[in-house]
Amino acid sequence: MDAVSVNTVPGGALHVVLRGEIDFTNSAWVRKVICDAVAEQRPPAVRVEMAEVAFLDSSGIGMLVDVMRAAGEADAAFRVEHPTSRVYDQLRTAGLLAAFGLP
Amino acid sequence: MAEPPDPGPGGPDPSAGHRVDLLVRDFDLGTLVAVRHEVEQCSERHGLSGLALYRFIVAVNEITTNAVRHGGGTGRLRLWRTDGRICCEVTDRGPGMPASSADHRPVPPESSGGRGLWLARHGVRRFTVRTGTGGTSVTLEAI
Repeated sequence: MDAVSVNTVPGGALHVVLRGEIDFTNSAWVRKVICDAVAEQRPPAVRVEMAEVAFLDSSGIGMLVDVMRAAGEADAAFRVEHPTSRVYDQLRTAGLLAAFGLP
Repeated sequence: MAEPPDPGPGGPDPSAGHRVDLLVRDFDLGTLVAVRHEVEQCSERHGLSGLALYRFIVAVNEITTNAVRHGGGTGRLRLWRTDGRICCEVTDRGPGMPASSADHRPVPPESSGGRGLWLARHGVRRFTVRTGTGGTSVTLEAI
């Protein structure tokens, strides 16, 4: 199963699903897949589903920030959804909960 | 490289302050992920679990990744147990960490990089850096 898949859902939002381990070895490719889709489709919203992400490193977090910025440049809302408790803890340590729309 | 043999019954008693080596690995970009998996499995076998295990693996991975990206492309990792704690040392022969790496301020949310050392420092009980023109050595002690 690929580490990333991108689907357009009814209403036009871009639904990104991340899976497995996102780290320095694949984050640049994941970033390109998502940012290309944002640039092509200009969706009203970008939602990143994180439930199946087992491991995330700082380059994966940087990738999410870049996607957030690409969404902002396309005037799209951006939200990260359903991180595991471990990844949630990591995003809290990174100070990104509010920016990623997490409680 | 083979894993050092488990001292087993009659071997050094970790509770007595002896160091028990668990894993020694040389790594580069091609083995970064495999070594991370080995460190995770080994740390779990020796008692780390849950959030403490995840934070430790995140921290170790940030330091090995730094060695690959900025420390000459290769490094050596040692994992050991002492006094019931899991510790890891990552050494590279790169040009040394820049002075700015001692900056402990948080990274602003809109910045795409610069979070590796922050995450590593905040994920462990103890974080020790020795760095100079001959390379960098970082020691991490799990929570």
